Amino acid sequence: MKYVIDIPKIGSFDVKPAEFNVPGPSPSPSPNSAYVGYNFEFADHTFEMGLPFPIVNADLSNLSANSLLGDYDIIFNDTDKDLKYENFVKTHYLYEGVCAYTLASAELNEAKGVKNPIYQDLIGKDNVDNVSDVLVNQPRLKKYLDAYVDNFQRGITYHKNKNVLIRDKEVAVEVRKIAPIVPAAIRLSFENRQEPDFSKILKATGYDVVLMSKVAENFTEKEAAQPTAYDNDPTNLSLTSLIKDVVMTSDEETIEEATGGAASVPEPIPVNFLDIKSEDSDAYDLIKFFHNLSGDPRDDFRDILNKSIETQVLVENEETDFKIYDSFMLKKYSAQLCKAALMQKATERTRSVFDIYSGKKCAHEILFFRIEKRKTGSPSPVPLQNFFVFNDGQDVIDYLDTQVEYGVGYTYRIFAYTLVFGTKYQPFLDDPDWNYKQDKTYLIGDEYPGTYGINAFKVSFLYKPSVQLIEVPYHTYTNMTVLDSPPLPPQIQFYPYKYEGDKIFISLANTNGFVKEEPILIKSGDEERFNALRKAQKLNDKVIFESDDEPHSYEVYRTDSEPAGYGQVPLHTVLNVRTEGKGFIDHLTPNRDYWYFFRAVDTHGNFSNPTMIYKLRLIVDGVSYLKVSRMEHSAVVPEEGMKFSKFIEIDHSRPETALHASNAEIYGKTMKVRIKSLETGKKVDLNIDFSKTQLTNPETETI
Amino acid sequence: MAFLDNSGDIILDAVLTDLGRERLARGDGSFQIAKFAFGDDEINYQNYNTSHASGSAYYDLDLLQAPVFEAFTDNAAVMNSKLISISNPNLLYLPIIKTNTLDLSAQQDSNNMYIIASSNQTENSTTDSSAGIFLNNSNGGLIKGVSLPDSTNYIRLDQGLDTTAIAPSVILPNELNEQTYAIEVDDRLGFIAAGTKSTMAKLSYVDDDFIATYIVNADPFVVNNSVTTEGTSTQVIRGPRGTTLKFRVGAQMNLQQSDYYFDTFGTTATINTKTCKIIDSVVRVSGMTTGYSVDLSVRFAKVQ
Repeated sequence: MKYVIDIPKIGSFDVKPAEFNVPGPSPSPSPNSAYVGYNFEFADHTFEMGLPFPIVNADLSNLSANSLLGDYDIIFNDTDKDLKYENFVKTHYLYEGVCAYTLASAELNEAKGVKNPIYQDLIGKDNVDNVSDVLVNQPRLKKYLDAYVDNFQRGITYHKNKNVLIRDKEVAVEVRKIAPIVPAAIRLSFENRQEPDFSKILKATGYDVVLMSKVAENFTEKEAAQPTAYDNDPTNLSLTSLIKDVVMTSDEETIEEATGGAASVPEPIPVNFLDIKSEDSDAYDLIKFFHNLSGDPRDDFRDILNKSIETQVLVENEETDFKIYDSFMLKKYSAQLCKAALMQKATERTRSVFDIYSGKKCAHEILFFRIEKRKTGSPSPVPLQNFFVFNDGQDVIDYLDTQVEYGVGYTYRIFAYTLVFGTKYQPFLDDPDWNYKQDKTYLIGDEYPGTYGINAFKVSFLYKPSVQLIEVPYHTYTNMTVLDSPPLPPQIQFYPYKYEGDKIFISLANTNGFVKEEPILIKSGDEERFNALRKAQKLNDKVIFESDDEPHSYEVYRTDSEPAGYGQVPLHTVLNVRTEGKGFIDHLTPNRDYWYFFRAVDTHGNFSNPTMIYKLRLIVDGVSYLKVSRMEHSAVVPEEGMKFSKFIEIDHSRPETALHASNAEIYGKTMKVRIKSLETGKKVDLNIDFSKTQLTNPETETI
Repeated sequence: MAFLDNSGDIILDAVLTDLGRERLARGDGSFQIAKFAFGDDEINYQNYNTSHASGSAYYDLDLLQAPVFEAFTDNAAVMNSKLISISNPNLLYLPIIKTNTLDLSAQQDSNNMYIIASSNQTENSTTDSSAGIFLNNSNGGLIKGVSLPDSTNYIRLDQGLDTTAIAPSVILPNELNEQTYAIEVDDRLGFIAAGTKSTMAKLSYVDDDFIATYIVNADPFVVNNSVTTEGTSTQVIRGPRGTTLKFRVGAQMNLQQSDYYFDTFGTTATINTKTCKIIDSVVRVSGMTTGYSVDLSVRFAKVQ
């Protein structure tokens, strides 16, 4: 897969001069070219980028070695028996708290001896040193949970996690340690095989944080709707809308080679061309940005760096990394360094106009990713949160979102902020104003008779680098929902009362274990629920049922007329375990058949598959006793057997078919053929009458 | 069924219980193995010796060398301790059911038994006040099994985590909390009534060995133990507490009106200076959730 981001070029040159026209303002006449616009500037930022396949849909055996993958995990640690955490996050904005990356960053600083007073109270080692004390006096997981929730709450005071900048790949390693103990989380991972190049310089100068912060400003609530124009504020990295058209296409050759044909290309990534509207992508002119930061000494750069924004900046070591910015001159030198490095790389990588029309694509480099988080179906134009992950050379971007609410769907869109070395060019010879490099002179036309034919003209180009930071849609995770596994069906015991013929005691017990099986749908709405579970469990057909928590209630279904399947048995009652226990007395009419089945329902409303359908009859004849059996309901359609006639043919023996056979003794008799099943011993007798009809030859009138 | 490890070949010794034989004999297809259970009756985990002189490899030697029971046919005697599955793997303690004799109305006699008075005379409820076994100040363990008055002695069992490591104020997890109990008693001798009310438990069934099973799950038999303080003089469960079961054993009419069973099964003994015919029996109480069971010794007594 690849992107082609195509800023409109000059149009087609492969036309006759008289038809040659370009869009834009009216050109001034040129003495050298009557047909080519004067001082027109065109740009080309076409590049290709590999995109990850969703791992759920991708046939891994058919992917090429260069294919990228996007994966996810829904994490639900069922330690929150009292729903303390779940109830808390329901009443708070999710981003107003401590996210896993804040904890991880604190952990890193802790390891370097930087004491963090907040972290001291978190789930650090200090709290679990005395393991026996934790285990005995308070369950370990409960302690973790309490610490997490308490500090999540306290985090409201200290942090705004609406925009989080993740600078170091080491932070992700620390986050993985936290994952097992958070109540709920969604882990996204997507591959990126681009080696950092310019991003190394960015990180070394500290401008990685600055750059991500400036981009993040566009996603604060107050500014998201109307970003400030770039020209009005030279220090603002606003959206300049350079991109007019974004086309996502496939690397058809690669895909066909990898998958063996377009038919097996996984969905929903489109194979063919897909137009993406221009507003989906934005661009930032990075050379201008660094030029403005470094070019004018009168600029007050402290405002840039100290500007108060609702962004939580996570850095490896704040004390050392940000000291560099305390020096006004060092800030400028750093910006100049970035600009110089960018210009040098641009000089090396900028394509000529010849390269452009030869189909060569732009060099590009992903500087960082933006993970945009929204609640699925939310009409708000402002993302719920943005996480900026710097391209620190990690092959897999592993992002753990711990600020998620149980049962709520989230959609994550990943954007790659890509440094693109494009080209700006002019189809004119004599303009000395811009420091364009002069490209070759071309002959363009449909014929080239002689030196310059009547249908041809010559045109030269001046070109220069155009370094843009372009936001590219990279991957999407739709409707990620944290869901608990449904429970297993309960175990049932029926007890009669010997001298009371109208009631029985039904005892229900939990089933412990783990099973992956097809869900059985009973009521309307069951299918939607199981579909959501399939997605959370990354399964296509079956669902994992497991006894990870105690059932909250049991559904009891009962009918007194023989059902054809589960759907025909109505709900009889719901037994709340906390208030009514795990058994109940059911009243019924004696000497009458009843059909029961049961489902367990856990705290989150997930229900198990039903038990078997029990056929139950309370027989009262002086004393009462139960007859319980399993109903073989018609929901299980018996497999249709093959017809025996397919395998047997009974015919005359050959001598019996001979003309005028003298020994034909079977005709007029009844023969018996006995077929015996070797498996069951059953026998079938076939009584066969053989008869013959003589035909008369109409010519000879003989038999 | 029993599993015999003969150090090499694996031998499974399987016999049918009485109920299984009965169902098999019916020949109507009702003999179906629908579920199974494991038990470890022969293992006493207190024999795990962490101070064995030969080191940690020998800690479980006594356990591994314990003889394995052969298969029993009596369903009342086999599988007293079933293995259970708990969804929470982090549990350090499992609940038990324990007789509470700290309750002044639930004491046992000097032989740690409950005496079931099996006739009116024995209850001392006749006009001759000196005829029975009840005294004014020493009636511990004596239960009036004929009249079953509302206010009298009873049998009490408490359920929960018997440990000082977890405070009793911690709520017992639901999956460890017994709400339903099965009480088994010899149906020829006794029946089950509530502890403090003259409510009879409903008989569920009687098996081929005359063992009657009563399923009780609610007040007045089963109540939640709401005492959460530590070190009280009436609680035997030291940690989180679940439910309390209170019941009495009544004497069947056969015992009240005939000495046949006493003469056939029993013997004589002196109780509170009265010579009595007695039958010693066992009442088994099992939790339906955890499967934990307790055997209680009861003595049916009838003054001669």
